[in-house]
Amino acid sequence: MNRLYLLICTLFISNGLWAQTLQPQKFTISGTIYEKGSGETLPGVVAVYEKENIGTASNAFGFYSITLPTGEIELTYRYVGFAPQTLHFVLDKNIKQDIYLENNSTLAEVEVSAEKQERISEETRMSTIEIPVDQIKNIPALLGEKDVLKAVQLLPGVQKGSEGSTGLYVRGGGPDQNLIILDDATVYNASHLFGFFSLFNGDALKSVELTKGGFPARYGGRLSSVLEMRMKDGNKEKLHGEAGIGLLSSRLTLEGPVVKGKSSFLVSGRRTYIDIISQPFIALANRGEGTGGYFFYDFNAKYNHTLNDRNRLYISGYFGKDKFYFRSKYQDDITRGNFRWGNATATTRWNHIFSDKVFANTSLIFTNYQFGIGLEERFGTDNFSLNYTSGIQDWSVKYDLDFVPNPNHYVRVGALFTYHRFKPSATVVKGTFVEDNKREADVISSYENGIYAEDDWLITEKLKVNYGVRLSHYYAQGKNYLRPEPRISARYMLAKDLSLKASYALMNQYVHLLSNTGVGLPTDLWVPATSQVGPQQSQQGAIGLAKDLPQHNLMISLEGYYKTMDGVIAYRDGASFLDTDVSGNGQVDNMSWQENITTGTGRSYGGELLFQRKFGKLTGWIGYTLSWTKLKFDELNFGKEYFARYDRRHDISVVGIYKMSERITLSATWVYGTGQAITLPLATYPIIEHSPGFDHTNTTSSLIYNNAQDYGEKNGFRMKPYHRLDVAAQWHKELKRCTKTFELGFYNAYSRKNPFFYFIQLENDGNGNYRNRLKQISLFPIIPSVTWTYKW
Amino acid sequence: MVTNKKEIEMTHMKYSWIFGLLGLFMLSSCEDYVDIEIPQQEKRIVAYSFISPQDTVIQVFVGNSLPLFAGSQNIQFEPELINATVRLSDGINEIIIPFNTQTLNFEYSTSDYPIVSGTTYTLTIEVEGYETVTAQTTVPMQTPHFTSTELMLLHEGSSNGFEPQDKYAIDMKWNDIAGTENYYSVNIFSTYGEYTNADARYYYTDKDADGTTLSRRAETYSYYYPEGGIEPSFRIYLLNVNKDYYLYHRSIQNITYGDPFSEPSMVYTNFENGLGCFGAFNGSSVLLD
Repeated sequence: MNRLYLLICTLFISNGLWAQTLQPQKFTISGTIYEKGSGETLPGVVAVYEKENIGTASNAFGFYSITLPTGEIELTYRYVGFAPQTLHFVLDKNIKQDIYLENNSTLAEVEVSAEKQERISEETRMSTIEIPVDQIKNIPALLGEKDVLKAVQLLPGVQKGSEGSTGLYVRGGGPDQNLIILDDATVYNASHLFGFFSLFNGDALKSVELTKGGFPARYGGRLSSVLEMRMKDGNKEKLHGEAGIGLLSSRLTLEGPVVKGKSSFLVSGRRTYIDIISQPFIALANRGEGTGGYFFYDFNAKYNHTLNDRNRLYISGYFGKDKFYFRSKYQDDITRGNFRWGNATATTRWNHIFSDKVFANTSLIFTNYQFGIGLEERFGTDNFSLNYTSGIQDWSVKYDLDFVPNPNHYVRVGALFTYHRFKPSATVVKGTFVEDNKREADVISSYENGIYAEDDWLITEKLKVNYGVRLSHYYAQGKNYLRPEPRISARYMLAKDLSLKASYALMNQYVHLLSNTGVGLPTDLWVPATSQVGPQQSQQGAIGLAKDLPQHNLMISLEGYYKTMDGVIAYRDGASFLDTDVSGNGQVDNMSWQENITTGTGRSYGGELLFQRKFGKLTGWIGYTLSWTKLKFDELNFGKEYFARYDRRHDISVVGIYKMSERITLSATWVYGTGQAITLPLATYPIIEHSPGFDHTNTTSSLIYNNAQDYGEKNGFRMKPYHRLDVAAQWHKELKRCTKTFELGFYNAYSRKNPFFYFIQLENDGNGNYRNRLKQISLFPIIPSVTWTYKW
Repeated sequence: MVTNKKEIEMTHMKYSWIFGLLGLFMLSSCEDYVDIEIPQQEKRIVAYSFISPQDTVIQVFVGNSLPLFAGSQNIQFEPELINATVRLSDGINEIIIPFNTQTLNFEYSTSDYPIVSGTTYTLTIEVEGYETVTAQTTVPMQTPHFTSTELMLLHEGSSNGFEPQDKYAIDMKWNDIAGTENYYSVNIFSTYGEYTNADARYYYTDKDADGTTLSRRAETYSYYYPEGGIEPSFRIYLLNVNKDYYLYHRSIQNITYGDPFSEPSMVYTNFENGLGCFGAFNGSSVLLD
């Protein structure tokens, strides 16, 4: 027995020694990558050992780690818009090396070889588009307001809702199926002014990335897309600012160091003054009997502090509010009303570098969204008032760990715990003719949790796979849901610069958005999955080709996808959000919104083609999407499949930004989309209700009940197609202490009357006959805008 | 309950106001005619008939739809419909239903051609100038009966803002027909002397309760006649209705008028090339006093 034991030990030791002597030693180079001058961390920078073509990328916080065999190593760091850097290392121990990359726009006349840019073909992730924030600032926009969500709507696979709205419909999913994150905090209602502008002030953002499919396991909670936005940290060296004055609103951004080199802050605010400008017009239109207005403001703030070379702390927040109010007076009748809504988010994050290979981030997150409607009427001595509020509050803890054992694996694990507090509605009614009534829906609490593990595995040089699983859990009203979500995406290099990609993802969503009209009024309600209304689930498969043409600085991507959705909700026929408080027998019922909705399934499929140029004199993209989106509900359209309202057969976007010279930039955008599918009444006809009376004392002919509309198929009618051209020109002037930019732009340059909504009007044709005519309201004809921006 | 309804109506009106003001507020908004071809702009036949083995007279209502965009909106009822050929067939025998100029309906007496439980009937209507419409429906096999009914006076002279009223409750029980998907309609009529009112109507399914005893309560208010406390008698009908009947009647319940935020309500039809409903039921009734 002893001899056996000794033999085994010897074998182990000799094996170990053998292994040691045969395998070369490996060491790790790691650190954080910053932008030179501002100290902003840079995510997604590629660090590559070119001789062996082994590389890695920096994570969301700029941290990178690469493990290579001992020896003399040359590492090259590359990032779009920045000058590459090559450093020489003698790798005989673990090395910590922070990198400072210089932004190309500050360099004079640098001809950057396109070879050195990032390649879309090498990325495993497909269905992901990153828009450089600078591009967003150069795209002409409505009234000169640079808008992140509007720019995202220009990408293939993303439809917008109606004219002007910021709703995103990604690959057939509704506007509630997008996870919109600002510095890890979920944003529920991402729009100002009924959807015309988004909450996101481009001046405060560092990066914007949209994922439409092939979701890595670290994302969960929504079915159709992830729009991740990261705020700038703040310039660590010097105080900088940017101020903009436009027709619609003004904004100011200030960033600078608190302790030079160690900590910095950023604050950014925006306020509109539409109300002040439009007051006289509205009063005029109402013959002095009415007034109304609208305003919004928003505020972003961030503070970050480097504690030591292994720890960093970030605190960021957002606060914004919108209010629409009106007041009218007619003889003795005074009516006053308002719509108001607001978002607030706050995130505290702590980066901790455990070792050269392990990086962790812990976040504490708070989100609050609330909206309210108020109405007050006075007629003589009588009065009536109604106040309706609805809101949702989230408290979350998030933990993410990056582990880079060697260049062939990039492992991420983590967890997210969220406590939701929903207050679907609270109504207070008072008045002379009504009993004082206060109906408050109970707070619905729920817990949404997820843990995930994923790995980016370079199996061979040609084949790279990102595989992972997310386990999501949800608890509300005594019911538990536990659902695993497998995720996989892969890329196979067919040739240099050409790759084939495929992905599959299963997603779950535990909150629903009840949307009534398509107009984008904030009557949208966020409601949780409950014991009666279950969660939504989707499965998506995508396949595509990605090609880089480095000599032209061009990326081409062609993708096809097929997606099924389960547990999709919609309002029943005839239902209205105003009914949500009163159930069938008039009882107070805080859950009665559940009686008003029905569930069904949906499917969407199509193809997307994208040509994108991120760097050079002429940048921009051309995108084309061909898609179908259909829904099927047992209780709607009598169980037959029908087109979703936002089903858009063709969607084309062309965006071009041309830097004519150092001083002048020209830009243009052209969009085209097939019209929305709506339910249009086609005919009117009598309906009767049967009444029994076997001996015929009640004849049916005496019960002509009413008239009903014949709608044909649900969403069976197409509105006219939408297309629009926007152009803008910017003049830059370098002054002693700042840069001044003047922008002149035209929205809807050829003044196309795009339909906002249709309505039917009965008109007298002059011969005493009444005819119905289909009419449309279009919102924006050609609108010029001027903006002045100062940057220092 | 009436109070809440009133509030809602007022808020509906107010929201139409907001909607209108919003439109006004859109400074650059622009109204224009839309010149798109709108489909289905021919007049179509609308017909209703609900048959049962119990009825002594079978009626068919024939009307027409008025396309919204095709012409003058002045006239609703077309005179040529009186000359429609209305055919009812069970696959073997057929009857042509004549127009009765007194009741203004197409009707016939069932002694000529009785309606049989379990049979599938086809109704065809032809009118010159219209596309011929046809529908099929199957008469439910079994006649349901109440196993118990109880009338209770809940409240004397309760006021709801109008004339003082008595409040009655009727508890009903019946056995669901096992093994099939069933739909029921309960109709309550109250009679005061010579006046009969249709008080209430309910629709039920046997979902999740197949084969069990269904029990329901209906509450109704009675009119307090000033002539002095006439006691009402109630007649309650229990109808076993088929799916066509049920889907149609439920779909017309969903229609809301006047709320700009409500979803469009589609009304069920089982007519090919036309609109309306051809349904069937099998029922019984009970008199309570």
